[in-house]
Amino acid sequence: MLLLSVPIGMAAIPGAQAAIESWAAEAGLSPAATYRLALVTEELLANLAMHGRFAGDPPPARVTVEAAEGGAVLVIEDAAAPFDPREAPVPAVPSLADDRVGGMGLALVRRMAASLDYGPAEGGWNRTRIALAG
Amino acid sequence: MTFEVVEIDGQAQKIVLAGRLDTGTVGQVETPFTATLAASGKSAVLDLTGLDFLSSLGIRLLLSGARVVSRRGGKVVLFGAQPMVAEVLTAMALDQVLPLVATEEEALARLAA
Repeated sequence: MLLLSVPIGMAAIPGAQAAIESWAAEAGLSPAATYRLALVTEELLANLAMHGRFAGDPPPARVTVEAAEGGAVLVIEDAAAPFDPREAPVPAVPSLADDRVGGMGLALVRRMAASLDYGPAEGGWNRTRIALAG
Repeated sequence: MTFEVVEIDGQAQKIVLAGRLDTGTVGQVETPFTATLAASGKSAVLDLTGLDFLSSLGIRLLLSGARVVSRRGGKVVLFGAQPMVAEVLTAMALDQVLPLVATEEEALARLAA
């Protein structure tokens, strides 16, 4: 099991990914599962950094990764205003004419996840739990 | 992340993207990548053979580069994506906007078509 405390901001994301990828190598995760895990981590943390609404200075997100059934389970807890990633709108098919390309990150998260749960955590925090196939 | 430009026959250029294209690296290549495409005004094939990791931020960069080329009447074709990179491109339906083929020869043939 890996536990990380990740400051809210784009600058902290590469370090979190690197830590998760070395954990995945030690845990013997497949290259595909490692890619999905690093991708989902980036997209969710980037979403918090870009769109998370916090009362005051945001406390770091708590990130946990655990091996499970040949794959992995990623849990991210954050203190942002609640935002259910399962209910984010599905982005339009990309086009060369249209510059609006929002929503791709969370759409990728939904596509890569074997399961996606979201709900409250202790202290008014939110908890996103994602299972990734091996 | 490395980024390299190869001229092909004066008609098109090949851009070789290698390493990771994600939150940590997109800032390093954003300006030269878009500037290269804008300055040449030519069609381009993007060599993804050495691209190990692509996230939504990287996809946005590919899309905005392709928009620049498209506005000048050119085309952009991707080739050689590794399986997981291809999975991400397909999951986002990017292959419907930017053709993704296996080899450089196929990519150049698509430009000519």
